[in-house]
Amino acid sequence: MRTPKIDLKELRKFKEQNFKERLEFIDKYAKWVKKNSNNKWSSEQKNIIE
Amino acid sequence: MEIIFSKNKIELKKELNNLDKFVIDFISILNKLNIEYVLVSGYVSILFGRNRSSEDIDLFIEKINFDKFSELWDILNKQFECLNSKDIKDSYYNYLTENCAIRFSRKNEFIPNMEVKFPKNDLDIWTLKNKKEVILNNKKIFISPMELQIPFKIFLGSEKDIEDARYLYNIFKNKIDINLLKEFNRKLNIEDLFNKYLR
Repeated sequence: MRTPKIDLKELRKFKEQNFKERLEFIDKYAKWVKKNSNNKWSSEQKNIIE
Repeated sequence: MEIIFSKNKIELKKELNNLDKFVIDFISILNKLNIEYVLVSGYVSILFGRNRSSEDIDLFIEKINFDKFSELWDILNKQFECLNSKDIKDSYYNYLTENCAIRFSRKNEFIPNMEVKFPKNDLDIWTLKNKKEVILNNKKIFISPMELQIPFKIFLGSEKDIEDARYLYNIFKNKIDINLLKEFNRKLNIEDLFNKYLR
């Protein structure tokens, strides 16, 4: 079977970019949590966790 | 987010998820027996809203003797079971006193589980001594202080840990003792990583 060519340098770059985007998302999420009521964020958190 | 933050106490009311309920049920037994403990894991960030789950929750308990441990074991075993060993002496002498964790889950379940350890070094002892009280829906729990929790997560260094640190820092940066946090950054030798990921 022919397997694809893998460019590790490119993959590492994507991985770093993905991590950076996730950190930016966490900033947005933390801002949202601070802005909203405990009832609102904890009820959404409960839906995700359970 | 409605949160009351003072030097030694944080008050928070939230809709409890299964992980919160598991922690409260386990901790209430330690509170009842007056056993000192501190929660140190990723659960601290989940408690304050980070949107992820966890299969284990890390906890230090004060070094207790075998008699006290027997008392704890008997009460815990009504609701929970030890996943490492069913034998109390094995759990105490071959795990806890050897600085290995014992894990407890609810009976007939595997996750989540509480990973219970004795403090093994100066840092663990400091954490236990300087624990922060959280009043969660009128229940008392003790967690690692943010000034250590955040740098230690960076020190652990996985993407998940750094995300936890970034989240907690975002939530608490205006409330914590920044000089103490910087001191831990220095001692853990993570100042560059802190500046890279949290600034």
